[in-house]
Amino acid sequence: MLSTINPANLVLSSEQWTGLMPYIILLAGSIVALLLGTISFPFSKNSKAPVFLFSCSVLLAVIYWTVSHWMKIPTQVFNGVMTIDYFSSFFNVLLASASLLVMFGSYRYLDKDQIHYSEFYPIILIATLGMMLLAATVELLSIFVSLELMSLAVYVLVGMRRRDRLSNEASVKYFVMGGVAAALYLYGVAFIYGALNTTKIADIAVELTTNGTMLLSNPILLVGLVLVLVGFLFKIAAAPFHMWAPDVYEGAPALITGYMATALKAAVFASFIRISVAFFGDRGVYHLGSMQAMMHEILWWAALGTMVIGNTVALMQNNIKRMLAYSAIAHTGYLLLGILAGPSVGYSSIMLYLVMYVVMNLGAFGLLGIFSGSNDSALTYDKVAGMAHKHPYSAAAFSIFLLSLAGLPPTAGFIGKYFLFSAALEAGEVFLVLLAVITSVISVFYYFKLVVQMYMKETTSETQYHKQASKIAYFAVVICVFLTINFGLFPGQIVEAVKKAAAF
Amino acid sequence: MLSENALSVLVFAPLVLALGIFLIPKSAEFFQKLYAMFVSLVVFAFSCLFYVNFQSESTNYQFIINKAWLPNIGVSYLIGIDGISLLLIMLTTFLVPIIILSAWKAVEKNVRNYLFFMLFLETTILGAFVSLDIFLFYIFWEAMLIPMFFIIGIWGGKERIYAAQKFLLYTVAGSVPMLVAIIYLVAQHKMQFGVYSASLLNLSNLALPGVGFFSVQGLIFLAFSLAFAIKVPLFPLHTWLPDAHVQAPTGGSVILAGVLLKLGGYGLMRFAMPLSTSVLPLYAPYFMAIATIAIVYGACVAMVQTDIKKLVAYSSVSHMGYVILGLFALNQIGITGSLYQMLNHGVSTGALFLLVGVLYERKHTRDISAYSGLAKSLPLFSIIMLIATFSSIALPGTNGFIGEFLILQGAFLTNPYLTAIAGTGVILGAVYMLWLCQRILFGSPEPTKSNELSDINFREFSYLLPLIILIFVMGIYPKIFLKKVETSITQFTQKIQITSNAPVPAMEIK
Repeated sequence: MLSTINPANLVLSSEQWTGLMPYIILLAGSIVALLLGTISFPFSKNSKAPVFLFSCSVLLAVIYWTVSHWMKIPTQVFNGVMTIDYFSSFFNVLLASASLLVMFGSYRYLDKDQIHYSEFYPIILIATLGMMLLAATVELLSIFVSLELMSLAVYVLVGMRRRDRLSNEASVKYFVMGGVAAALYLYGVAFIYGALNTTKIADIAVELTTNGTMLLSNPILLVGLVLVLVGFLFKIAAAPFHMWAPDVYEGAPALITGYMATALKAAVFASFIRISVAFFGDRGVYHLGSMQAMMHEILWWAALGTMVIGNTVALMQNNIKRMLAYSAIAHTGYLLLGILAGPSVGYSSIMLYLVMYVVMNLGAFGLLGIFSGSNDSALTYDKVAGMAHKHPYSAAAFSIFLLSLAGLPPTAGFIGKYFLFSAALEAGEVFLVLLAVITSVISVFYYFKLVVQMYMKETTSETQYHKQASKIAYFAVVICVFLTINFGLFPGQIVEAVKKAAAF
Repeated sequence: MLSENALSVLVFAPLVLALGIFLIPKSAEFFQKLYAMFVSLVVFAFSCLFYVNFQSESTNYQFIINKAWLPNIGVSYLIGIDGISLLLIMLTTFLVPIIILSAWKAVEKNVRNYLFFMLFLETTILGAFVSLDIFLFYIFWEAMLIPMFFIIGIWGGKERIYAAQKFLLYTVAGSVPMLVAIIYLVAQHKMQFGVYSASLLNLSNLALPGVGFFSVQGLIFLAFSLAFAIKVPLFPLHTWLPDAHVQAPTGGSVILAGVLLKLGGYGLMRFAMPLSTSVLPLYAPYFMAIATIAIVYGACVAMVQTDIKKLVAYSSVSHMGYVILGLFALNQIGITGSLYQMLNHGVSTGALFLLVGVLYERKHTRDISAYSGLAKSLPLFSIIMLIATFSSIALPGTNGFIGEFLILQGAFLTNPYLTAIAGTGVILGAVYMLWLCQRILFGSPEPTKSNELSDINFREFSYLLPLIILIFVMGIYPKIFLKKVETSITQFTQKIQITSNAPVPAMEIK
């Protein structure tokens, strides 16, 4: 509780310093990267390469530090608003790797769209910092701060193609809508504090679990919880708060869209998992008619709507980026199944799915960045017709990602879906699982429509051939292809890691 | 004796060796074909070793490999074969070299990729036949879609994209309920025995409520059999088949009819029926009725086709109906017949599709009316065509007779009325096949119709000959094949009859 802040608690022990180190590295790194962009270097014509290399090494340092000082024992920091544990370390690695892949993929993409590198890389680092903090904070107000740190950076990234009207529109739209969602969230936090006199998730969990039925008669608390939930549903683009996503995803630069669809979503889900323990409780523990049961009901409908809307609307798209945007919404729906399934099996499967999803979706968006000419928002299905003849490797890689997104074995997407659906089925969500598999069939159709275009259609005058992209972008795609297949065939280790991480 | 990992080697050899084809320069198509031919023959020879080393009397699965794969959810890499899978594996490895030889001239673009996909497909099919872990089976089952989708979609006819998408959607739609059933079974194993397991051997110990059509077992049976019935394909889920067959290249049709459809029957025998024995007597009459409809309907529709390939495709619907009929007779004779019919159909329909391919290569049309009096100008072709026809219409002395006879005998013991109706399928089969032969082989050779067509050459003869020999060997001396499966089928029959009340007639054929 806020009244109990004790100055003595704010002194950090060496363990806490160790735990905080990745965040400190990232913060310092982003500031230095920002400064580096202004210096001219004698050995290169502009400072792009130095900034790029420096930013990559910052992220590598974060990954290295996290892996070498893995926090197996949870460490509370800053009076308990932040918990650095296996869970947050896991997300540190995932999020930093995703940012690294985005940087790799965008090396030449930046020139093509005249995006200023000296802003791009530092802002990616700041966004990563926000995401990593999001995965570690366990108090509603700090969650808000991390959320805003991440979101503000991403608003800028979305609008990075300054000469493109779509990109500008997307940025403004995202900013306004995101602002409203943030306001709602903060409003909700105030209500919760008013009702329970606490903003710590652990305390809220105790209150809701022990007095769940009694609290139902407290409208202030109910409004607070619902508003916080709305804030989260907005950020992960779940129905009915998904409206912003297609436009923003379409307008943003391809790699930033990929970044938003994967890393940002993973970070928000990390936080969502943390608050879910309080909001939805453990299945079977709460009684019917309690507050948690009611929240559960609300989320159930959101999951249903998200899966149906995402998949059916994706079916009607003609623009590849828009299709992938709706598919990202559909995947959010699948991920919500894991939240509904509860802590014992559901959360680990969400994390597993997020890993798979980051790998395959970033790969797909990375390739989209390579495919697209000067304007990647205009990449329609016709423009990839017969592409496999000219670019067999790109087409094969793209097909692998699409197969994985569709959830067909032997790819990562299948393993992810299997764990997610089996968790939901074990939790008794039979109807939603059936709906999920039916919508998965629909998704097979729209993903394969692209494969058909690339392999089975003849090339037309519309077909857009891509120029040689940078080697480093191809390298990122190759990593994604390798991991997509590797996680599909040998998921043993990652599953182990996820199981441990989810036991927070 | 074969080494420990032999079965894994057999399954993955085609895929791993197929990767080597990308080392051959793109323009050296001849060497690519030669290499693929070599690979497929090596795989066939290797599978013969399994046939020889297989212990017919043993009631256990053989050549078992069991390795932990995903211990968290009880999934293991568990493979092994019994007599049923042995024969189907042999059929697969036998057909693939024939398909590759038939593609020598027929496939013109991207030969290298075609051959690669074909060998990739072989690995996934073999994998599905050897899997004893239900999760592993699902992976192979779904992975099979990918090469087949490309084979139809890239090398097919005019409407190939439509056909490929239809094939894909039907199969995926069928297999997702199966996935839900698999997840459910694995979770049930955890609930009943404390650990997850996807092994078929463990799952059969599950105690699941099985009273009534929509009991747990009933739903599991429905989920599995939907996937398998689409693959078989059973009326009324067969509509993807004619499109896929007509559009697929010759090799694609042969592997589709020859092996992929068998996976439907095999899946019923291996998974759907043993996992839901209590509800089998409830569902069996309905499946027999549907199978009877499929037999008669398929035959009637085949009769009115004007496209040779479509005719053969609908005859597949009819013939695969027999497989289902025999299987759901739930007695040893019927089931033996079903398995034998699956092999027959692979051989005879495979031959027919190859013959259609031969004609198509020469005249680039599959219209029946475009051909007439071929017996004069293509005598060798006509002889082989007639033999394949005789096999297809189950003439005594050919393999088709043994299969259909056993099925009808087995079905008669369970349901004589339906059997009587299904028996008319044999007559109808003779009608459409012989009528086809009469129209294209006999009659007056019109100069415009048969002119310029050359008889089958040595290459074509050499891939048709093994099929013709097999038709007679299987028809005259079935025991060499049946003795391998006898024990397995007895075991299977006992298993499904433990709780079902179907009559248990003694094994009469020897």
